[in-house]
Amino acid sequence: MELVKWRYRNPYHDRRHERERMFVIGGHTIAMDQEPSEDIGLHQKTGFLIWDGAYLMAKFIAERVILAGKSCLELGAGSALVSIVAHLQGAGRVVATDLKEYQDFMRRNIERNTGGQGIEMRELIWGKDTNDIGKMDYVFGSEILYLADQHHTLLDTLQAVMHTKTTAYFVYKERGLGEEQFAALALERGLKVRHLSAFLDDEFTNSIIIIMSDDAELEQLAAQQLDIDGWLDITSLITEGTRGLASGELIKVESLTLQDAMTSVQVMDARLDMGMLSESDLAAIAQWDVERALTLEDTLWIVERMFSCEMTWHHSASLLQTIYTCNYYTEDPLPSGIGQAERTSNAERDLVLYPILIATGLCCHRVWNEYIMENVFNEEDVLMASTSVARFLEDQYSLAETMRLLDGAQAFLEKRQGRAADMLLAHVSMRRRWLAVLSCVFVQYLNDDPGALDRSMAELDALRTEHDAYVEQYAEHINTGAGAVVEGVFDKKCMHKFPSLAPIKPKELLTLGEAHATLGRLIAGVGLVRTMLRIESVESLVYFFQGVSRRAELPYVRSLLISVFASDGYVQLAQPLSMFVRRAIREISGTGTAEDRTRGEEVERIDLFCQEAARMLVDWFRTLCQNGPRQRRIALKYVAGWDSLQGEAEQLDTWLYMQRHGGSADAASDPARNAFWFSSWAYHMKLLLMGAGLMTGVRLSVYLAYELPLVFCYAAQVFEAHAQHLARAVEMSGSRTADSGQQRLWTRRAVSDEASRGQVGRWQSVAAVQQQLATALWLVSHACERLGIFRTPWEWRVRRATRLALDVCCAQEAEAAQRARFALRFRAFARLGSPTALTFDAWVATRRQLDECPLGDLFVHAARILTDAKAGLDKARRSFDGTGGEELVRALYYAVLANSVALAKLLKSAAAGHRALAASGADACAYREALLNEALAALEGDATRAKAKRDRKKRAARSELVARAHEWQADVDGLALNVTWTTAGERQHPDWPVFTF
Amino acid sequence: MSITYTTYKTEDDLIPAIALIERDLSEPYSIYTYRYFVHQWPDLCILAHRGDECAGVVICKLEPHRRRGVDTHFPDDKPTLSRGYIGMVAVGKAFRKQGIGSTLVLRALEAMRERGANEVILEAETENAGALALYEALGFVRDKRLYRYYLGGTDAFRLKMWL
Repeated sequence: MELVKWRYRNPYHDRRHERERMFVIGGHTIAMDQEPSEDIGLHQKTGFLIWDGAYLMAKFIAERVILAGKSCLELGAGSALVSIVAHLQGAGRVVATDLKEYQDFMRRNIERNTGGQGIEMRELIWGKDTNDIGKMDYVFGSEILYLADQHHTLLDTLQAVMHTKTTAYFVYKERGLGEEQFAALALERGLKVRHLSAFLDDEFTNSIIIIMSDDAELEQLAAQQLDIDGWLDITSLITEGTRGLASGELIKVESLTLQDAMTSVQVMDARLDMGMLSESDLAAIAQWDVERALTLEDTLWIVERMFSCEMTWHHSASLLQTIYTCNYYTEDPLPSGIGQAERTSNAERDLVLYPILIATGLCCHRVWNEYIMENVFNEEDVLMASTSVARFLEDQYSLAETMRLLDGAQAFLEKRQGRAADMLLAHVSMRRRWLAVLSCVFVQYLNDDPGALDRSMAELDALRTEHDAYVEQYAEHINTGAGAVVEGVFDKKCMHKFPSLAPIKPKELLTLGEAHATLGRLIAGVGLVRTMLRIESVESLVYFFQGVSRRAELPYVRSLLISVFASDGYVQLAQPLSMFVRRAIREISGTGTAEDRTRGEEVERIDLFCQEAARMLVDWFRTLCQNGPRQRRIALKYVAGWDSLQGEAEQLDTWLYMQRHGGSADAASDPARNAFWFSSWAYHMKLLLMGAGLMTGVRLSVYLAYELPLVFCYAAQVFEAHAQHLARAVEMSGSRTADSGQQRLWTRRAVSDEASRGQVGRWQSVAAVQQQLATALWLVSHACERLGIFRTPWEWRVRRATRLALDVCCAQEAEAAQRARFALRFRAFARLGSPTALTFDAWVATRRQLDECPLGDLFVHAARILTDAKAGLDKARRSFDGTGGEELVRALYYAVLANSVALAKLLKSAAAGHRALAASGADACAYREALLNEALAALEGDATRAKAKRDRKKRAARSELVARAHEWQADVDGLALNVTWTTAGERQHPDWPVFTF
Repeated sequence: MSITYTTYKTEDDLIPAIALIERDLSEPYSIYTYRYFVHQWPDLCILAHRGDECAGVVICKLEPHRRRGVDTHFPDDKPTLSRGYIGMVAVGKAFRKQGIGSTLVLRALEAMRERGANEVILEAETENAGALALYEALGFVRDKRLYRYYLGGTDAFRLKMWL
């Protein structure tokens, strides 16, 4: 016999979602059907699940009630589990009752377990005719008390079926819905009531009610041992449950995941249990009266608070925590006097507040429509609760109607005096413009109406002016948040109004100042749409989206840009994308167009390639509009895609060459003869992506300080390949005499070869500077590592106190571990055809070479490279004007300058002649090695006290080492070498770190 | 008094450990989350005690992980890796700065290595400099940055170490 403390809740499994459940009760195995569904809620479909109370009631009657020969009635039976158990326990007549909708479900379960015999099924509506049920000995009701307004009718029915000795049992779980009031009501009607004090599970303590009509009988019953204190004999349960197992076999459900474990918290349906409020909460919430007459100051405060809510929502908070918290917003139905000056008795509310709120709702609806284009990520970027924002009055108030309401508000406010009226007037005007902008830039709208873009941009400009003026004029008010505060308008616990939505950790509401700053960023972000649509060349588009990738942090802006860009109708209507790519190929590679393009197959194959390339280009732009971490992950994934595209392009190039020149395959694959225009372009894009993948990693601090030398070494290699590739492209296009006669087949806009070469040249100068910058940072970071500023885990050995720690560190330092780390850190590049990936051995050799150089030389060399980079940028800077690449160049310029200044300071500080700087890497390494050996030896010395003699020697050696270490440390400190990331600069050029000394 | 390290035996071990974890970690966990870990991998739940007092705890799991993408480190014909995951680590306030946290992690790493783990991962808040320093000093690297990973809206680093 096994006695266990019994708990109902199963940690491993949430049974609410299963279609079939098994119970072992009173020696019977009972198989029950369930019909779980999403829309189970307080008022519907609760009967299709088997609730804990039903199970407990079934267990209770099996253990404690002798039913043999008795008549039993189950109220609100649902699945009829209790009735089935009553029947199996030998009850005489059993009647299971519930609403009509559950009759089939009930029948299925009864037939399954009793063959359909012995249990009557009846439809029963409480308080109505009892359907000839007659008087019963026992009545059972499990978890049917959660609708407090039905307690009276339930008691009517109960009394109709009770005779003098009838015992009724009810079990309920307290969900704060007034279940406990049932007992009091029963008492009022003269029934006798007892609570059972100890019952199995904590959650059901005091939750079994026994009702009888006669007090003496009840006393007598209560005197019996009815309580079940939670110790149960589960022998039969275990025997039953383990029947299929061999001896020694363990149960572990393969399908159980961490996610399951974390979500299996609730015993009951979350939607029933969540968001229940205490009475005091409800009282506090009920304090606010939406009929209350508002002053203009009150109205202004509510409007501003809603504005903060709206902007907080833009920062990925949940609607339930922001806009829905406004009591005016969730009022249902809305007052009839909205916008009707002659009919309203609460003018500030109906003529000002509601129009602004309705317009706010429409704005949110517009943003929502953008979110559901699925350009941004649910949960990651925006919280999309399943409740639609249709609640935001879209169907009640059209755009025109809302605008009319705002006109009314304006007219009303213009007649009023005072600052609040002025500010509200400004709010009305800005809201009108913002709504117009949001409506017009929506991509479908743009597709339908060619003039929409100009109109929305005109509105946007006006809004920007108004908003700037507003922020300036009311700066004090905005920053201090002064003004009336109206308690109770916003209901922080508004989740109880939408119980089907899971609770989410609340986000702090933005302050008014932050909210206005957010609107400013939204305005700037939407403005980018115009910039984007004006872009003529793919080269500039690449610049543009690279800029967006760093700046646009608001999901709405990111989503908007990409849906307008990738829309079939709008941008591409004017410039079909494959055309775009053809032009890009032309711009980048400067390919001549002398050949006859009328040959069908040639055009077809080129077209196919262009379409594929266009698709990948759009994918990449799409990626650049994602959040930073995703940009990096996807960029690294796409590198392989571009690599294979490059392979396809090479085949195409070879084929084209043979087609046109009729040469041999050898000639066609000779880069001296065949220019490989298409693959040249694909290679260019791939290198861009590789560089972006690495540098985004640096921007997101994914690389540790001690990895920086390696990262910059790799980056320098990628940028070098890029620069060389573009230099070759310039050379190739320069050596061709282009025949521009056929140009129009390639591009809509005639691009001269001169312009093409210019574009390639610009890219080349950027790549060259990037290469120089990476090289300089590589040298500097290498030097820093050698100086012990970037500590590696294995160098921390000196501070390790245990053998175990030492072992792990040694294992990390071992070549195999370093090799593994190398392979996995750069796995995205490992199998690319070109550029030749940096190998671990090459990296080690390079590092060894650098170790030979004195530190001073490294710094000087880095400084020299930076000077060259600056000169290169100075030369090229002008040529970027008007290409969209200005920002990129500015960022590079800043990084070069900042790093140059930092280095120059160091070199000037007379430190150049310093011993530490003059020391070559070998010295530093030897010193480090000695230090490490010392630590190891000391540890071993501790372990073996016996070797005291050697210890003395060691102590002497140690004190010498320590003295040397102090000396060395002092040298380093004397230089005040303090490497930090410049946080101030980070915003301007996030891709490149600046080492400050 | 010295610190003793033991693996998980009964649920009595868990109660004080949960209290420790709940004081420190930002995310709410239910008892089932803990049970999920400790019932399936009791050997990978290591507790530090001083006397009767629970000083620290580390809770881990070890499962096969399907490989995605390419790398040259593991042979290509190996479709899954054995991936360890450090779920929770906590050290009591009074017991900090004594190396208990890193010893717990080290012991967990050792236990996972013995059980054939190829790699070990965990997540840490980008703001949590202490935790990052601890793991990175052991040789963990930042494999990914996870956007808005925590309920509070902060990013996380996915730290990874190859054994």
